[in-house]
Amino acid sequence: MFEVIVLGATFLAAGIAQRYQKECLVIERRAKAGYEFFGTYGSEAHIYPCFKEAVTLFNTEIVSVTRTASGFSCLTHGVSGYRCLEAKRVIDTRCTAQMSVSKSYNLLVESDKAPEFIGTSYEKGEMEQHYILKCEVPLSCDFIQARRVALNVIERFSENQRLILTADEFDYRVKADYPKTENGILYLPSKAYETPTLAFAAGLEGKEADK
Amino acid sequence: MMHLCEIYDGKQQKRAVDAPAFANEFDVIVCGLGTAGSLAALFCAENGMRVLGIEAFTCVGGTHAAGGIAKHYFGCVGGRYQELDQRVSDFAERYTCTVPESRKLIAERALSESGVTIVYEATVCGVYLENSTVIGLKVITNDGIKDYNAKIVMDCTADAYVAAIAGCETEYGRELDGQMQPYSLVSLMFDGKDYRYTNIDFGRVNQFDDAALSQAISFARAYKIAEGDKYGTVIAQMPTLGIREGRRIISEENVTLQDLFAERQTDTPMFYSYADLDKHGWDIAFDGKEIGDWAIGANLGAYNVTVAVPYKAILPKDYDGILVPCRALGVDRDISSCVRMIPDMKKVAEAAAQWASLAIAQGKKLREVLYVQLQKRLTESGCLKESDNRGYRVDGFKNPDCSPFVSRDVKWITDVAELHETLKSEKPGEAIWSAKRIGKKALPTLRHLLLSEDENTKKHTAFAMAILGSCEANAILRDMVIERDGLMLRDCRKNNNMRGCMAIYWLGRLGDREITQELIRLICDPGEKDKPVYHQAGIQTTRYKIAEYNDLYFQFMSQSVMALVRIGELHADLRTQIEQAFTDAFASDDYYQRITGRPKLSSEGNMAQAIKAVAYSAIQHWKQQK
Repeated sequence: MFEVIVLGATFLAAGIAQRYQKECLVIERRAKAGYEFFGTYGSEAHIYPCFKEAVTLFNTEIVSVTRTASGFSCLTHGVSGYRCLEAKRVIDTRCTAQMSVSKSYNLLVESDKAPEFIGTSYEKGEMEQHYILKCEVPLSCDFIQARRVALNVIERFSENQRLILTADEFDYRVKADYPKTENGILYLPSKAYETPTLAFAAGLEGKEADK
Repeated sequence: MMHLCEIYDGKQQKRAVDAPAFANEFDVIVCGLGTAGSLAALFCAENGMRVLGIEAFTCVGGTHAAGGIAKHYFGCVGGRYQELDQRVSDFAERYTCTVPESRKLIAERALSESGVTIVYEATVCGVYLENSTVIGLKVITNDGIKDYNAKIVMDCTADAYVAAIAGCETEYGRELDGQMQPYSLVSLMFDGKDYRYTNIDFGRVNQFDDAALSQAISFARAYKIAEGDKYGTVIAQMPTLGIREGRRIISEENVTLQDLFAERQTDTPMFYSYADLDKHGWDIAFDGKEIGDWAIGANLGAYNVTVAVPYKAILPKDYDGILVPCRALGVDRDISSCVRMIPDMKKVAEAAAQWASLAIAQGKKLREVLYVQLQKRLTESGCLKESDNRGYRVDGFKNPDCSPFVSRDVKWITDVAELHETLKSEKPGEAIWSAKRIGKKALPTLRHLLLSEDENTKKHTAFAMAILGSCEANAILRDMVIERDGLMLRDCRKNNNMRGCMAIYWLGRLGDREITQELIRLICDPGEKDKPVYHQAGIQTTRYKIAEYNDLYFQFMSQSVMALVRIGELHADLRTQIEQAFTDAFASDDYYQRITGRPKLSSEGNMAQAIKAVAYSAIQHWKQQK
């Protein structure tokens, strides 16, 4: 039995994994970590060593989490099928639309000027002429609808604007009412912290519940 | 009786169930909307079918989109995919910096417009069977677990994942040690002007073991591309790993490399595959005899071959209601390294869609559809063209010295008198293989050539004698080993072999006991690695120049271990000393350090460990025989 199961290989999870090491199990449906802040952009190479000492399962779905006499039982489904894993505590660091006040679907674009389109905002990217263009979409919007919105924007690009990358995650703005405990599970989206560094530090220092 | 098949802790389970209340009924469910699956779903919908597409990730296109693979490697052009490719290309030209990003958007738009229902972030966790016909799926979605019903299920997961849940017979990995090809991770790079994708091979992974897969993901993603890389700075790592090999089904008609070399072609092809037997691992010593004779023994590893892929290669043996139109189709491991390229996957998608359309329109089982009807459709679209049946070819993009590459058809030598001309060159491969094709009647001429004063003629003739199973030239092969003949032959644009390694390979294949002591010296002597042969400057090879990895030494070591295993198999009386040599050579990690200073999870580290694993597994095997 693990001391803690952390749902989502987020920056907050990376901190928790460093703290608990072998007593921590991190479960992640994607084949990557730390995506909640960066989506597709940037190489988050530095986050992976943080998961090294913990047991981390990528490409693994969380089917259900149920309470048991001694803690929690987590049914997962990964490349070797169903597995049942147990822990004393469960912390869910993932973010969903239900936890958020708004979300955007982001694009990394190359542009000779600040990209200004109705229904979008932007941030300067790391490289010259790179911008993160944020297409605001309803919380109920799925990826297909979001990319439809994005396509409408892209097809209005000027000659000097090009799409570099589309995100593979939504960029959520989380409600202020976290952390929350429901049925014994601590819900604290990593994205509730302002920066990856703050999220990681909270996990590392054991302050995730004190936010 | 309906059964539900699931996998628990790696083991398939099948239990009788009552028919569930299916959420929706579809004509076709496509699992995995990657290169093949996205097109299979599109073509099925364009043919008027009601299609559900299930995808674990958040976009379509797989390796060809989110995986960052923009271009394709060989294959034959033609078929319905070209229309979508043109749309992708047009959009990229105007709006995007890279083609994969365009594909992500345009392919999804095409699928939506054609009416495909797409469910992202969904994973198949169960398969419903009626007798041996797949009739539905259990799927984990963001809205909970759902049951879907379909007339036909297409497993486009590239790993025969759905077929494996259903209990279809599958295989994977090489025969000797179960290893698969190295996986890679692609990063998008920017040098201030251009955007390029780099594709780095990391190592091998058993992707069916979740702990091993997770470790591989962490290892690859933690790798930092050095500042000052020629392609610039990393913009992003691609969200999916490039897993190059997976399960393959045993199908109603499987194709093997033996079939190819014996010129046994199916008479019911759905398309022709065309590429070299593209092995990314350099430990080809452990890949088996069929491919070994071709790629090591004759030095023809980068020659292109044509494979006629039978339509029944995507129908799992003894099953119906399921097709596996992806790289998991029914070919053996040697051929699978060729029949996996992007054009092949686009064509197999079309064949599957047409086959399913015919079956559904006619109310027949898949196996009841007549090939001629499928053939007609595939021929009309250009997917299946007899002109693609090009046999063996020398093809490529550039020579190792970057000189222009001249592509040509291979014309095997049929007149024994003509063998000499090629054998005396540094490109003797075609003559060696031609000797195999000619057979024993080439032996008198070869015996005569063995007497030649010309070094190339004599040595290359020894290879030709060996490929015919003759031990008459073993003394010459032994001399090549003893002198550590480091001449790199030049038949191929990549992955050429040194003559000394080829000699070791053939002595192993022929079970030559007299070379045993020399091979033992080669693997056990720590000073071996200092020999000049392993430090040749400017040697013509296009194997990547990897820091802290000596491929020349690795090739001699790996070939020697494999040869000793083969000799031990044939001569039981030599096993004790070979076992002792293996123990001496590999008891510590010193041998590993002599090959590479790279981590054990890296591609090079993995290959170095494979040497020890092969040696120790032979010891184990021989002990069991005792």
